[in-house]
Formats: sequence, structure tokens, C-alpha cells
Amino acid sequence: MRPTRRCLTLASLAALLAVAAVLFDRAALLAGTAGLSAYLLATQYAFAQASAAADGALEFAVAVSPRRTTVGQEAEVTVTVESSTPSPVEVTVTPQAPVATTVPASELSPARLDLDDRQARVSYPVGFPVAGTYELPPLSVTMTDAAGLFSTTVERGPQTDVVVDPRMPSHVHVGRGGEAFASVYGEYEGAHGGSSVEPDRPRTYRPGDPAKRIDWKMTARRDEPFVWEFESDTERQTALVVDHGASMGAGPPGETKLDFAREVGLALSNAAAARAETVGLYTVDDEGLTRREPTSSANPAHRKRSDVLRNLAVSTAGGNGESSPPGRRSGTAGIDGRKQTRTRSGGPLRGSAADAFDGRLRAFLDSPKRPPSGQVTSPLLAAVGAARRDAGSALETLVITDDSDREGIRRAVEAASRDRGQVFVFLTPGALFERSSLASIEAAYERYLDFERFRRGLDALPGVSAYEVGPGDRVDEILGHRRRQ
Amino acid sequence: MSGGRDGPSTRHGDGWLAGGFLRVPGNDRTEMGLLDSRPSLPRDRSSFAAGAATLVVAASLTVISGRDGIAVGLVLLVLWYLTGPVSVYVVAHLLLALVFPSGVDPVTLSILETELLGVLVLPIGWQRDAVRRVGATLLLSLAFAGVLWVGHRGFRSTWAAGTLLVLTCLGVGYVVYRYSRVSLGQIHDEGAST
Repeated sequence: MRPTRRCLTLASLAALLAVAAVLFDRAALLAGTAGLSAYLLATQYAFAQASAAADGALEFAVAVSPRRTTVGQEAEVTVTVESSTPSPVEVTVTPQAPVATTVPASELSPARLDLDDRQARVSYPVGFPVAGTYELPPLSVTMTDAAGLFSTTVERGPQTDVVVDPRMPSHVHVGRGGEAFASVYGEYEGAHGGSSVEPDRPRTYRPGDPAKRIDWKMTARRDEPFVWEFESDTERQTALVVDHGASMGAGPPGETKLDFAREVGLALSNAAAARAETVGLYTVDDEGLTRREPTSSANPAHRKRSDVLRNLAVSTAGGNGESSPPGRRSGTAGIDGRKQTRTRSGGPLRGSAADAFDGRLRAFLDSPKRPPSGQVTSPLLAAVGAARRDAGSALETLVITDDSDREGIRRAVEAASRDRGQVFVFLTPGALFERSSLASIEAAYERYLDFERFRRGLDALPGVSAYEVGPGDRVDEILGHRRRQ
Repeated sequence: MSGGRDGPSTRHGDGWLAGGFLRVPGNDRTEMGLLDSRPSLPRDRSSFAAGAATLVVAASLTVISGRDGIAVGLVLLVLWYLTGPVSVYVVAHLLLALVFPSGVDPVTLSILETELLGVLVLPIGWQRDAVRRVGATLLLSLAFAGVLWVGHRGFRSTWAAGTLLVLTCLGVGYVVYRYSRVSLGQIHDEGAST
């Protein structure tokens, strides 16, 4: 309980009368002090009882819609205050924004329950810029007496949590024909089988090293953690080709084809790094190669590769971001990758600073190698060609793309599997990313079947394994609907 | 809600009093300088009750001290009209010191104090918790009067009596404050959990 300014003013006047009584030696003035003080204290006592009664009669409800959301989305918080009896005091309920949320100040208005009112309600939007579980703070309930002399603030209200998921796929399905892949999708079946690494030499632990590489016995013998460096016992090299063309933007926010492709790419990259394999990264959009990271097994290269994958965004070059029919993305990028020489290894290919020099040379570089008129090649094919040239023999190629350019995929896969090359294709079928009504599930199923035929066709190629990647709930929805029928 | 406030407003909102110390804008009770919170015009019954009590005080002063009493009574009535009962109560006590320069006898003081207390508590009669507030005000007034009497008789000193009264008021205020915190659950009784 705290006095208002008005209360303090009256108390000051009472004190003034007391001072005047002492100064002028008039005891009668003290009677004024006594009367005014009695009035204030009686009001204070009445308010103490009224606020306790009001507090007992108040009920609070906090509703959040939705209770589970994703980063960047807003949730609507509705605070309802109800009093089982007419409120004997004025009640102001002020919602408090959780830490690290965004609430427009203009929207965060309090709910007021005037005298004799029984219900008040207020709603406000809350934005969540960071993923996690947010606990809405208790409501700040301020009660003020009718005379405006005293007020008190208490914290009331139920505990309400909001779960905010990151903008990333929550249920990544990797498998074949609707059946999820048996192993963790980062641990794809290596072409050579068995362990591909041999311990080389120990060194001190550095941040970023996998914890499972720590040699605990050696660490126990010395004062600092030690890890083993591995040396690949094979000549095997891995090329990770990731498509981020316009059609990869299909799907709801946070669950686009590219989001799933990114998850798979990171998992594959991590698994390869754990096996100390040399991995190169090639990203393509609708016009060609956009990034070309050299093959390397070093930790910095792995971290850089992971960063590139995490920051990979849908490219709008040459497309409108919507799914397109097969064959749309066929371009003029040569299989020899000469067109991609406009960018240098290890950096973004388009828009580099040396474009002037690059532009002058391109005419000379492109012209002799340009495919014959009418022959179109896909960016994937160009990426595979560049990877094969970079890596040499014993190349494993991991291709992550969608099924919008099936002819381009088939040709790229065939090119990658030449000379006993191993190819793993991870496809995001368009049928799994079309959020449609129940009536069109049948049509989605038909498209999924069509994709499955395509996938099996790829899978049947020598040295090729083809998988589907998409939201698991959508796979269950499409296949479950069919099974029920 | 407006009818429930023991407080004032004035229809002279554009005059100098409007921004003055004693001015009370209708419902704005928290501004500095707020003494009374009379409801907005037209005046209601609680306001007229305070006016009637002020009239009684003015009449008593007239009877007791003649022309000086008339002047003081008029001042008090104007104050009631312009501001409110609390202003009347405070200014009345200051003016009593002028009207009775050689002191006032206990009987007259008791009569006037009772009437002035009526100026304070009568407006409460039409409010929520009227019985509790009026009863508590009267009870505390009697108690404080007793403290004053004891202090004045015991110490033979106005300042000692005043100090005793102020300390008593602060003590009572603190007790009510603690009672409020306990009743709202802001202080837990440690003994109750065992």
C-alpha cells in the first residue's frame, strides 16, 4: 500500500497544523491534526479491507493464441479480469511483456475495472524474435480507493508459457517411398564401408573439435584435453551439391524445401566432418554455380561450410520462387563448368569485385565451350562437372535438390556416377510442400506417386541412391489418407 | 463512480483558482495540490451534506464570537463552495486561532471540533463503506483526542503533546499498512506454515 500525492498533501496539512500549534503554542490546532489524521487513517483502514476483499474476488485468465509459434510470428495475448462481486475499489490490470519479446508500447494498455464493474478485458500482440519457452510475467494489479488517497499493487495471474520454435523444420523425413531412412540421415551408407580414418597424431583440444574425439586416457595423464587427428585412409572425397534455386522456396515459412535441404546438408556435412572426410561444397541456383568451396577435411573448412549452409537463402535469380514444371531450370551452363570460372574457388561466384576483369575474359572462356545450339544443360550438371574436376577420382557426390528439373537431375546424376562414382540424391518432392485442402490430398498423392516413380528410376541407376526429404507429418498425411481409403 | 467520491470540483474552472493549490479538477485525484475530490457539478448529496455541516460551523462561530464568527463562517462557506470539505476543515482550524487569540475553552472547542469533524465525515455517509469509514474516523478522533489530552496534561507542553500525537498517528498508520500487506498475501506468516 502506498499513499497517493493527494494523501501526502493531506498528511502534510495535518503536519502543518501540528507545527503551527507548536509555533503559536495553540493546542487547539492539534485537534485539527488529530481529526485530519483520523480521517486519513480511517480511509487507509477501509481501503486495506476493501482491497483484500477485491483481491479475493478477482479472477484472472490469460489466453495466448497460439500457444506454440515460430520465431518472427506474433501471438495474441488476451487478459480477462473478472470479479465475482462488484469491485469495491478501482482495479487496473497491467500486462507485463516477457523479457526479450517485442510488444508495441501503444498496444500494451491496461485493463480497467471501475467501481462496481465485474469484467474487463485487454488484448495485445507479442512478437518473439528468439526461439525458446517464454513465461508470461504475472499481471500487475493496481487497486486504488474511491477517495484516491491510497493504492496498492500486487502481482497476480496464472503462469502461462509460450513455446517459440525456431524457423526450421521440426520433423525432417528422409527415406524412400514414405518409409523413413533407418539410420540417422547424416550417416549415409559410405561407398567403401567400414572405418575410413586412421588415427594420425594427438594434439591439444581446440574449440570446435567433436567431444567424442577426446582421448580421455591421454587427457587424464596430462593436464589438458587431447584429441586425435585422423588421416583419411582412402582417396575418397565428397562433393556436396546443394540447390537453392527459386523453386526451393516452396513451402510455409520455416519449412520450405530449402529449410529441409539445409538440415540434410548440415547433417551430411557434420557426418562427413566426424569421419574426417574431405568435403567440397557447391551451391547452385537457377543460373549456375553460386559458391564453390574446395574439398577439405580441416575443421575451419567444416565450420565455413556449415556457415554457408546455414546462411543459404533462396535465390530469385532466374525464377519467381514458385514451383515450376520439370525442365524449367535447364540453362546454358556448360558441363565443363567453364561458365563458372567467372568466380573463384572458395567465394561467391556472382557479384564478385573482379567482375570487370571476369567479364572481359568470359567471352573468350565461354565461347569455345558453349554447348551446341539447342542443347541445354542444368546448373546441377555444371556443379557436378566442377566437383569432378576438383576432386579427381573416388568421388562421392551428395546432391540435394527438388524434383522440379527431373531431366537435369537425371543427367547430373548420370554424369556424377560415371567412373564408379557414388551418388546420393536427396530430393524434396513438390507434392510434400503444397499445403492444400483435404479434397486435393488425392491429387497430392498422385503427384507423390509420380515423384516416387522418378525417385525409383534414379535409384535404379548404378551407383545411385535416391532419397526423399520433406516434412514427416505431410508424408504421413498423404500416405495415411490413402491407407484409410 | 463519480458519485462515490468525497471530493470536489468547481464550476470556476477558468479562474485563477482553476490552477491554484486548492483547485480540484473533476476526477483527477492524483495531481499535486489535490485536497478534495468532490464530484463534478451538479453537486450531489454528499457535497451538500458537507455544505450543511459548514453552515452549522458558521452559525456556531457566529453565536460564539459575533462578527468575527460571521466573517470566518462566510470564509468557510466560500471555501466549501470553491474547493471542498477538507479545505474547510484545515482553514477553519487556522482561523480559530485568530478568532480566539487567548485560547478557547474545552467545551467550546469540543463543540466546534465535533461540527468540523462533521464537515469531514458527512460526505462519506453516501459512499461505499460509509459505516466503517465514519465509525473508524470518529473512533480514531476520540482516541487521538485522548492522546492529546493525556499528552497535554502529562507534559504540560504543546510540542510534547504534538509529538506524542504524531508518533501515535504514525504508529497506527504503520499497523494498518502491515495489516494490508498481510491481508494481500505480500507478507507470509512464517509461523503458519509449521
